[in-house]
Formats: sequence, structure tokens, C-alpha cells
Amino acid sequence: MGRFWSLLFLSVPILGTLAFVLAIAGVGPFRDHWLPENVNDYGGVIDQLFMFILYLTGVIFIGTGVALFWFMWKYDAAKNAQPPVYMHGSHALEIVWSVLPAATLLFIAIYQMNAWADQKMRRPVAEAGPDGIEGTEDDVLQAPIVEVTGRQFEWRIRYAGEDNVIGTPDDVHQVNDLHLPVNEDVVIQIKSMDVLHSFFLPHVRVKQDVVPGMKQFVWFHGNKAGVYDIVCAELCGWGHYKMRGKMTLESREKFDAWLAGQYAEQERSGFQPKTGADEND
Amino acid sequence: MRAESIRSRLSFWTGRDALAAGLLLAFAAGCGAPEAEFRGNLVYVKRKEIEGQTEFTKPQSADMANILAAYFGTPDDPHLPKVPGLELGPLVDLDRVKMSAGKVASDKTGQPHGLYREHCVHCHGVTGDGLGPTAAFLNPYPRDYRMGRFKFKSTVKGQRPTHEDLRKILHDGVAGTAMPSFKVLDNDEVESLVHYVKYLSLRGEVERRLADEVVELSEGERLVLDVSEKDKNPESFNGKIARLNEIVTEVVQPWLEADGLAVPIEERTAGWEDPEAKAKSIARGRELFYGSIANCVKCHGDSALGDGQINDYDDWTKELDPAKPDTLSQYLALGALEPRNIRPRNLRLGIYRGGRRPIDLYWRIANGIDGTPMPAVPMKTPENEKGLTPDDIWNIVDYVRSLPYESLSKQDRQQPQITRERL
Amino acid sequence: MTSVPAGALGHAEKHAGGIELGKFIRTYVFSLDHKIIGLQFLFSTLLWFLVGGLLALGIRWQLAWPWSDMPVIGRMLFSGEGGQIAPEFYTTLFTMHATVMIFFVIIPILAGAFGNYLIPLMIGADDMAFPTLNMLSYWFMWPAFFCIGSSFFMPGNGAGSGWTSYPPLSVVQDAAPSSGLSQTMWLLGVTFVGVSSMMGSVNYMTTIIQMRAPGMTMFRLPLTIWAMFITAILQAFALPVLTAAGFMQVTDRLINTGFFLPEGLVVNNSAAASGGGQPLLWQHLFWFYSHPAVYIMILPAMGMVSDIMACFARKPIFGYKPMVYSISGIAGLGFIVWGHHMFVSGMQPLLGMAFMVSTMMIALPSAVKVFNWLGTIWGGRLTFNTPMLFALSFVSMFVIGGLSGIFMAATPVDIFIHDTYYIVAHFHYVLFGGTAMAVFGAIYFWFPKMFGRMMNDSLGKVHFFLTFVFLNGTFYLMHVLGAVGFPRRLADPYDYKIFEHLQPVNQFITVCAIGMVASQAIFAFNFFHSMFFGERAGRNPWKANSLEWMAPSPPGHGNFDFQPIIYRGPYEYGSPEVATDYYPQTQPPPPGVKSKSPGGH
Repeated sequence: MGRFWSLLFLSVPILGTLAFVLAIAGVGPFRDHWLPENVNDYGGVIDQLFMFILYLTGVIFIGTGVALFWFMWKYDAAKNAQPPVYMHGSHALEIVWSVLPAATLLFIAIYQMNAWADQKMRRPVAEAGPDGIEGTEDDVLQAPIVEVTGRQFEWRIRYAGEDNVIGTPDDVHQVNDLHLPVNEDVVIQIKSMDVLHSFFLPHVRVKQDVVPGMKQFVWFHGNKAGVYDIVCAELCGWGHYKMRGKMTLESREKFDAWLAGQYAEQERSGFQPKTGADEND
Repeated sequence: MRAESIRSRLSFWTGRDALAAGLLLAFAAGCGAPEAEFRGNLVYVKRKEIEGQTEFTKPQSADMANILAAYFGTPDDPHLPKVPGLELGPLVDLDRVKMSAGKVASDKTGQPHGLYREHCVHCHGVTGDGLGPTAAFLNPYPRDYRMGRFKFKSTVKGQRPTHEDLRKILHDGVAGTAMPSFKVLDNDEVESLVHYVKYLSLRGEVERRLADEVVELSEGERLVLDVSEKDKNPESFNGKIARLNEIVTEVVQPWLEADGLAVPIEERTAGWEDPEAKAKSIARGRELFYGSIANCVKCHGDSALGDGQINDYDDWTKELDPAKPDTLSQYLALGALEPRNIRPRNLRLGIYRGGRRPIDLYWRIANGIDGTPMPAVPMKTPENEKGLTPDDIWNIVDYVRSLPYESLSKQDRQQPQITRERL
Repeated sequence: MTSVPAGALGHAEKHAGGIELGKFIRTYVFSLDHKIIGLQFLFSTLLWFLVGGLLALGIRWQLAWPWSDMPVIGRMLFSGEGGQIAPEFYTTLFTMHATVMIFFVIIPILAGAFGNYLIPLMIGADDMAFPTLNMLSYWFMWPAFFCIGSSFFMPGNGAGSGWTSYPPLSVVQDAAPSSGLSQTMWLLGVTFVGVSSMMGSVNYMTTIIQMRAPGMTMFRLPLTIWAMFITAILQAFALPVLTAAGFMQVTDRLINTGFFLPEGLVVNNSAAASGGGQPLLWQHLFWFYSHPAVYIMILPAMGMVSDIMACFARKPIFGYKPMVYSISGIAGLGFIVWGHHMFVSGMQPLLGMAFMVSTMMIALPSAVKVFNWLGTIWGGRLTFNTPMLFALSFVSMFVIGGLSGIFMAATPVDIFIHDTYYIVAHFHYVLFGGTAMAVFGAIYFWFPKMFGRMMNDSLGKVHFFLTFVFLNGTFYLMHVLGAVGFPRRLADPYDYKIFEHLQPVNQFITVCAIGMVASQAIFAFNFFHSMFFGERAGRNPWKANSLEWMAPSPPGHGNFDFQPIIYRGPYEYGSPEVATDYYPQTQPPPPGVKSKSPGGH
């Protein structure tokens, strides 16, 4: 029986690794069962870090799994008559396997600080400011192009409009349908009207909880036009699953045209019933 | 010795336990899942009984249910009334209705089914009665389709909404309420749901008319005769059927006409967006807002905060006679929701339930809001010199649209005060 | 410290003679004996384990077949809609599943059941330091059971803001149907659990420090006791923060204080009454407790696994002192990592960096422990019976859970995987694959001591095999789901284009979950059947070293029928000083042999 149990435990690293390999390769039933396509210039670093940690932990996973199997196999009392080794430990080993993991973990932690800062602390800069150097305190940060407000259970969207100020009569209002220009730095202002929500853009690797009473900014640089999902990632009530939004990345020209069209529709002040086919929107 | 007896005991227990467990699982998994059923409009029936000081007999109630089933089918298997001379085709399409009806599933081609149950049922209820499991908690309550009344549309009060009106509500949602926007759904799916809403609305209206009809019956008379009577008493039998078909036609007719009744709006004179023209329009609008013809402040309040009067009810609530506690308690016992006052809109928030386009606001003012105390503003006609002109209405629209940005409004009132700004 | 126990003999005499109702109640219901109290905890928690498991099946059902007729629940509560659940019911399912599992199963079974049962026995005391307080700590669970159990039947049908209960959702009554009376009952229930835990932790700390038998120095304690000891310290320091936070949430809800609500909220078209507060404050306070809580939920398991593995490897535990320091390290570091639950919460990003470092570091002591377990079985003589299999699976599953944690510690990566199924996979691997497997192993291991009979080992192996296979089938693929970004707590995720195609994986997971829950029937049968018909066990059926195996099975009042004197640590398996391959702590060394060192391990 001991052989059976050892092999059962061996199946853990084998099948475990296999599952990830198949998912990454996107084979058969595992098609599209991996990180969604990243369309953010700044998002690639997250994927790289993910994969780096995956390889590292993969090695440890396989190593410890195989070691566990091997010891179970070799030291099965039913198959191995050797008396147990009477030892209480090994100082040398303890040092090795304390220092090495500590160094590795510390390295991973420090290595990622820059990426974190880029994602959350360094908003794109519009201009360098009086001192003419980018990256200093007096920089003029890029203004948000749109404000997204989470509400139970929708995303209310407000574009700055012609005057580039959010909160004026020329704002363009939308709900759930976010259009943004591609191949540009985009800054979004995010808020909440009622409870906690979370603005999650899977394809862009952006996620930030929207907190009532707090105004926050997220940013990215889209590099591929398309239609992507907006997902709410913080429980906000019974309709949490319904807070589905649509984000469309399109060329600047198309975006401007769309926005102008939305504004025109929003200012529509004439209506003639068309005979026959449906009209509107 | 001991081990053996334990082993034999073991198998005895295991066998019995396994059987018991198996039976339990089978029971739990459910031999026969519950089927969704349309719920009768018990509140309206009760109201008719109280009004007419009569009681619906069991056969009469059964008649109502059977007639509705015959005309409209069940939630899982819907069909449309077949009435000679009545063409339902473009208004309600059975294929589209079937896509929304029934259990949530997708067929072999990947087409979704059961859309209504997936997206709508927990607020609007299986019957479209606004009594889904979540309904009681929501503010405002979800719409009860069964009266055939809808608030935000392009037709005047008393008329049915156009197809486009309903589609817009699904597409944009109703801002400021729990009705979400479904624009992220495929067009096909949205269309299917619109047809299903109409289906439920027609069914609900027919049910109400049947209840009205029952009250008019003489003692012991039935709405419809047994099939066995068809040969024995053809005149009466056919007469009753004809009457029922007449009812259905009367219910469907306004819907068929509605699409052509959208109130047209003349395009505004060019240049209305220029700051000067706009400022003038807003000033004039303010006068009219506070004036005696439109008299907006009466309900919307001196500061347009919606606090002018707050004691009225919408039509759906008025059916419950909220002022009469005895009958009200009977309605509540039948599942009606606690009456709530209808509040005039706070115009300083910038949230417009029926849409924020100028034409939407124009319709609200010119047509009133069906089902609510919001009246259509009196228009200037040869008979009524004192009414408002379309330009006047535009002035009011401009004024209302400027309100959220006025100094008196805190622009972010509907959004919490920003106390922290994070980077 | 030379305490002569009141004497098992003395206790036995008192209970000679017939049992009347009053005596029965005092002996078995309101007992002051730590063993009875431990068993009371055990039975209660195992029952709640079933409830929590069924709630999980509700979640899994909805995710596999959304809006279909849910078994039992559909017909009971939602027959009008054809059996499909309302979306708010789903929020109740996952909230109550987590609440029940964390507060009514894992924490009480580790500390309340095993802590209570084993601590006096393993250290050579006749009972806990405060027997009455001990009894109260059990009975304070019952108001909690009542509060949370009855919340299912109140308006809202049970709390539904997640076990994390973040405001404003949980505080504003209009924010969710479940945020009414149900939420208040939930808060009350959690407060009672907190009180019960505090009582327990005070008891354990005092008992372990003050009531050890002569010769039982701290470094001769079994790792189970070290773990229980440090867990008790964690409880004592962390719980008050949760209690305070819970209190603040209750006042926010009921008397309009404004701890957590900012101004100007409009929820469900009603304006919230108070303001001036911060939603993030709750998160900080909650996680300040709840992060140490997760270590409370694993450390005792780690301790017990160490004891079981040493016993069935017939070898001393590898690196006893490093193991003790690791437990302390995990506990200590556990107090400075809570922010990793809040990386994307709106917390100051700079803090994110600080918490990233501390969180990465907490992986270190856990890694050290894993290596030491591997070192323990290396060169041993392994017996693969049921307890050993569960203990080994703890190591295997904990490795998975621990390694996936590193992804979350990496703050930029956490941006993507926060609130996805990656997190769900991680904590289920450590809590179920880890703690629950250890608990099963511990039950099989200490059952003979508790009931004087052996559990059936063949059935145990079947139980182990099925549980092991189904648990991996259920939780492993959740890592893959999380990599896609599949979020938690969504009643119907397939509406999103990006998640549409993930239903088959979810169905597979659900089938495995059903299998997993069903397999526990074997365990339940084995447990109860063996209690009455199992093979009788002597004092030390496993030939183990630690002190509890020197007492009768089951021990009478006062535990030991002799005065235990301790000569060595509990891991002297295969010692050259004796001919047997085990060397109990109380066995005096052979004449002329000087034990290697008094505190020797």
C-alpha cells in the first residue's frame, strides 16, 4: 500500500504542473484558460512578474513534491527494514534553508517595488513643470479624460467634454459604455456613489477599489483596439454580478467622433417619428 | 473472533446506511423540480370584489386562469392569443418571446434562452407584477407591467409606449433607480426582452379586463362555457368566446396604435446653444417654472428639491387605497408591497430617470408622466390662449438642465464629499 | 511547580455510584472537565462543518448551473420562480459559508476541541487552570450559534455582505436586503465567538505556563502545545481589535455614529444618516484581527501534524527548536502583514510596499517548517496509516497553498488576482488542504485516547483517498480560473464575454465538491460506529512518546493515575538508550544512563 500512497502523492506535482502547462499552452479544454490578452503597455510587467513567480514557485513545488514522494517511497516501513536515523536536525541545513529563501523573498519584494510605483503612484505627466524636468515634484500630472463612478449596479461615466473639466454642463454622460483612445496615456478618475465597488479592467491589468468619499486615479496606455470587459471586483450587494461594463479602445479619430456623436445625441432637441424601422441610439 | 463479528456488523450497517444515504440524496436532488407559474392578480381581484361587493366564485376564478392559459400559455411555454382578425405579428413576435421565456439555458447553437429569468425575474417577478424576491427591498419598486402603464415614453398619458420607448429603457436603464442598463447585451437579446415585456403586459391587462368582466356577470354566470356545451348551446358558447376575443382586441389595439403616436418635436431654432441665447432661455424658463401655468414649484418645491408636496401616490399604489387601512391590510396580505409616497423629482441632482436628452425632458413636460401625478403642461391652443408654446417648454427644459450647475446645488451632492484625494 | 494532581483516584471516588439527572447534567452537559468540554466543542464543530459544507454546495451549484433549480433550497424558498435563487441569496450563501467555517468550525475545533482536550494531558496537568471559565467558553458559543443560525430566518435571510462585512454595504441598512436585522445578528454572533475565544486563550496560556508537570520544561513540550500556546497569545492580542471594530459597526448601524460612513452617501435612493467616517477604517481594524486569525487557523494544525509525523516516522522531529521559532515567527510577523488584504483598497500605495516586504518574509518560517517536515520523514520508518496519510497530505497541500500566497504578496501581481479565484484557491488549500486534513488526521490519531476505541483504518484510508482526490479536483483548477481573472462572489459570471467559456471548468469543480462532501459520510459513519463498536484501544496504541499516551484511554477525571515526571522531550523515537523504538517522556532512563540533556529534544 505504501507504494500506492507514494504514487498518489507524486501525482500532486505531476498533475499540478500539467494543469498549469496545459492552461498556459491553451490546449484542448484549457483554451483561453489563462491570463487574458494584455493590451496595456504598462501591464506587461505584471504578466512578467506573474510568470517569474510561477517558475520560481513551480520549481519549489516540483522539488518538494518529488522529495515527499521519494521519501515516502524509500522509507516505507513495509519495504525498508533499515532502522530510522536518530537525529534531531542539522544546523547547517537550517541555515541554508533559512537564508536562501529569505534572500529570494526579499529580492522578489524589492524587485517589484518599481512596478508597483508605476502602477499606483506615478500618474502620467502632462508637462514637466517650471523646472523643465519630468519626474519631479512640480510636474503637471495628466488630467483625467473621464470620470467613472461606481453605483449599485452600474458604472456611471462622465467625459470632460470640450472644456476638459469634469463637472460642467458640457460633460458627456454615459452608463456602462466606456470608450477610450488607444495608443495614448489615459487617466481615469474613479469614485463611488454609495458602497465599495472595484474598477477592474482585466485586459489592461488595472484594478482599484472605488471608495465613497475618495477620488482616485487609474491610468494605462492601451495598445490594441477592441472591446473589453469592465468587471466589478468588490462585493457591492445583490447585483454585484450585474455590474458589467464595456470598454472600447479605438483610434483617437474614432474616439473623438464617437464622443461628438454622443454629445450630439445628448443634446438632441428634435424628434420626428420614422415610419417603419426603429430609430434612436 | 471479535474482528470478524465487527466486520459482519460493519457490512450490515454499511448496507443500510448506503441505502438510506442514497434515498436521501435522491430526495434532496428533487424528484421533479418546481415549475414557475404565473401568479394571479389577487390584489386586483380583491379590489373588484370589494368595489362590487361580490365574491368571485371558484369556477369564475378558474375560468380566468384557464382563459389566460389558453391565450398566453405558461412561463415555460408561452404562446400568443389567436383572435380572428387580430394581427399580433410585428407588435409581439412569438419566437422572440420564446427566447426570453422558460428556464435559463442555451441551446445547441449557443443561443441563450430564459433571458427574462436570467435578468429580470428577481425584481419584476415571473408574472411581470413587480413582486420578485428582491422587489420589496428596492426604492423605487420595480414596475408592475400588468396595468399597461409605463412612465417614460414618447406618447401622451393614457397611451401605450412605443417599441422604441421600451427598448430605450432596457438599453439605457432608468438612471437613479435599480433598473440597470442592458446595453451590453446583444441587440437580439434586448429585442427579445422588449417583446417579452409586452407579452407580460398584454397578459396582465387581459387579466384585469377579465376581472372587470366577472364583476359584470350575473349570479352564477361563467366567463366561458364548458366545451361540452359547444354543441348543446352554440350561441351562448360562441357568444362568450366572441366577447373574450373582443376583450383581447380592445387590450391589444392601443398597443398596435402606439408606435404611430410618438409625439413629434419640432427641431429647435438654430443657435439655441449660444451662451447668450441660452442664458435668455434659462431666465425665461425660470419665470415659467415659478409661473402659474406650468406651476412646477407646486410639487417640485421652491428650490426644485422635490419637496413641494410629498403626500401623493403613483397610480400603481393608488390601486391599494393607501388611505384605507382595512382594505389595505387585505391587499398586503395578498402580497402587495407597502405603499410609499411618490416623491417629485429633485431637479438639482442632474439625474433624469427617463433620459437626459432635451427631447426626453420635453416629453416629460409636454406629455406628463403616465402613472404619476406629473401632469402634461397645458399647451397653447385656439381654445386655450393661456397655454404654453413649444418654445416655452424649451425654456423650461433649459432651466431644468441648468439647475444642477447652479450655485445653490452642490454639484457633487449626489456624490459623497471628497475628503481624500489619492494621488 | 511540583503540583500533585488532586488525583484521578480522588476524582473517581466522587463519581462512584448512580447518576441522577442533576449529576448527569453536571457531568456531561455543564461539565468542568476539559475533556468533556473538548468533546462538546468537537461534536458542535463537526456538525457545523456539515452546515458549512452544504452552504458551499449551494455556491457551487449556482456557479455550475446558474439560475437553475437549486436542490432543496429552490423548492423551499423560490418555488415561485421555478426554483432559481434570487441574487441576494447567493450573497448570503458565501457570507454564511465563510462565517460558519471560520468561526464555528476551524477556530473552535483547533483551539476549543483539540486545545482543550490535549493541553492538560500533554503537559501533565489534571485540568485547565480555570475550569469554570473553560466551561463558559464552550457555552458562550451557543448564543453565537443561535444568533447566526436564527439570522437565516430573519428579514434578509442571513447576512450577505461577505464574512469581511465591509462598510458601507454592511452598515447602511438600505444597501442590501441582508443589511438589516440579519447583519446585526451576525455581528452579535461574532462577538460571542470572540468572547468565547478570549476565555479559551486566557485559559490555555495560563495552563501551559503554570501547570506543567515536573520536568516538563518549555523545550520539552510537544509542538502541538507550542502551537496552541502561541495561538492563544495571538488570540489574546488580536481579538480585542475585532471586538472593538464589531462594536463600532453595531453603533454605526443602530445609533448613527459615523465611524465608517463618509458624508453624502445616497444608497438605494435614501440618504445615509451619518457621515464623516472612513470605509477603510473598518478594513484596517478587521484585517488587523483577521490576519492573525488565519494563523490561528493553521498553527495548531501544524503542531499536531508534527507530532503525528514524528510518531509514524519513528524519528525525532527534525529541527525542534527551529520549528518552535518558526511558529513564533509566523505569529509575530502575522501582526504586521494585514495590509496585504488591502493593496487595491484605496490604502496609501506606499503602505503597499511596506506590507509587500513583511508579507514576503512571512513565507520564510512556513518554508522552514516544510523543510523540517521533509527532514523528519527522511531516513525514517514510515507507517502509512490514516493519521499519517492525513499529516503527509497536510504538507503536500500546504506547499501549494503557501506557494500561491507568494503571488498575492507580490503587490503588482495582486492588482490582477485580488478578489479572483486565485485567492479562493489559496485559502482553501491552506484551510482545507491544510488545516482540515490535519484535523481529520488528528481525529483519527487521538480518537483512541478520547473514546478508548480505534477508528477503522481501512475506512479511514478510503475516506482519505476520496477526500484527497476530490479536494484537489475542487480547488486546484481555481488557480487557473484566477489567472483568467475570474472574480469571487459573482452569482452569474458567464455574462461577461471574458468568462463565458469557463462554465465547464466550474461544473467539473462542482462535481468534485459534491463528491468531497459526500465522502465525508464515510468519516461520519466511521466516527460514530467506532465510538461504540471500534476495536478497543489500550493507553498507547500508536506507541507514541508524549504524555497523553501515558494516561488511560479515555482518561478519567484528573487525567493521570500516577504523578507524571518528565525526563525528556516528546520526540525520542529510535533512541539508542532503549531497545524499543519509542521512549515515552515519563519513562525514567535506564540505570547508569544519563539522559543527553535535561532539556534535550
